[in-house]
Amino acid sequence: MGLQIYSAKETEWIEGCKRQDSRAQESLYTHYSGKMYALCCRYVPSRMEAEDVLVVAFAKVFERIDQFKGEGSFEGWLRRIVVNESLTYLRRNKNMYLETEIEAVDKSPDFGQLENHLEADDLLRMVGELPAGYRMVFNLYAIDGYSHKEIAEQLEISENTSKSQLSRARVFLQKKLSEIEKEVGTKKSNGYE
Amino acid sequence: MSNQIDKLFKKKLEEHSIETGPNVWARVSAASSKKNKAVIWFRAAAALLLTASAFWLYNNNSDNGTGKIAEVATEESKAEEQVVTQKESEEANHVEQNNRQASTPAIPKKQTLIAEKKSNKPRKENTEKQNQKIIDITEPLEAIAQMDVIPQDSPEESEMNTASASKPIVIVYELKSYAKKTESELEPEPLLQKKNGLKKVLDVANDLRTGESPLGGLRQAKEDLFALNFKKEDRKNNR
Repeated sequence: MGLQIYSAKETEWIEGCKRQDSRAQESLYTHYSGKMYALCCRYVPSRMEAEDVLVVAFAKVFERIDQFKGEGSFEGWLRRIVVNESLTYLRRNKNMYLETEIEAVDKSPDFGQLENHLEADDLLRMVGELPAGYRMVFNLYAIDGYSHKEIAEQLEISENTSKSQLSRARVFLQKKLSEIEKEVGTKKSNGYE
Repeated sequence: MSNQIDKLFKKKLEEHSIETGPNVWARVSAASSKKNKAVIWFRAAAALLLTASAFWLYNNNSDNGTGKIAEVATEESKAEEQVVTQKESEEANHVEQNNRQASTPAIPKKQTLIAEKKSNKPRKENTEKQNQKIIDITEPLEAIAQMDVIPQDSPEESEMNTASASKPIVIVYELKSYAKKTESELEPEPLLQKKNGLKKVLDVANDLRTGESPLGGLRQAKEDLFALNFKKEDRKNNR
């Protein structure tokens, strides 16, 4: 029921945006800006730069709103535009595909425990520490649900490159997680004492 | 293991939301309205340009129109006459040739045909070769074959001939004969017109030719009309 009311509102906003109604545009922005900003931050770690990307992306959304024909969810359409904009921004930087070897960690961290202790911001920071190439592929594949084929097309790389970048990204994150696990463990033990 | 990393990050980050700064919406609306404004300005500029050019064209026509159009009209009619006379003379030449060919035995006919064929594909052949060929044809023919060659592709061939200075005699001869014929064959035009393909043009030409005195009256009437129209528009503009 609530969902229906909400979707009715959303279609109202979209219709308003198609008429270039600034109120409707603002409503749409207020509703989605937080999520879309977080999305930008995953791809573009610098908050300032992420904001720039967000501005351009939303301007594009309002410009191309007529292209949204109601096929699939609006949020999906919106996300694709923001992701594309982030990738465009990152593509301007060179040396995205670093082949630096990351030492594998033998111990796999306790994910259950980590999930309880880690906040989204901590994970976001870790993603931000990934080299740009790893970060893009990891974001696209693990979080935004793109296939390796789609990633290869988007980033103009081979599927194998996409796969290798993903596995490197995972190793990198695993290392970071196990470091954090140690910190959490020491904090815990300190707390007990 | 790797799935667990993916799951952890997806779960925590997919729906994650970060509040934007206070001035971001202002920037978004400025950026989008800028684009809208740009589109609007572009459209307005295009419309303005169109109307301006239309106005200018209209003005240009109405201001200088009467005089110019009258002049052009007379010039056109003159030009038409000229063209017609040329065409007629050409056709007359053809007919004359036919007459001559009829009178002369069958051998020159074939040769004229050859000349025509060769003159139809002058670009493929070298200019020198062509000249040689033309000369070869013209020598036994005496003027008749050349008559065919000259009017059909006069610009190209004359250029080619002048370009190759090796055989300049041909040009002189052709030009003389052409001039002579056009002068002498002006008279039998009206008879020939119906026989040839350019009936419409020639009919008009005939009208022009035969009715010179009434046409003068018509022209006068037309010019009067234009002058009247010009006066009217002048009054409108003065208002």
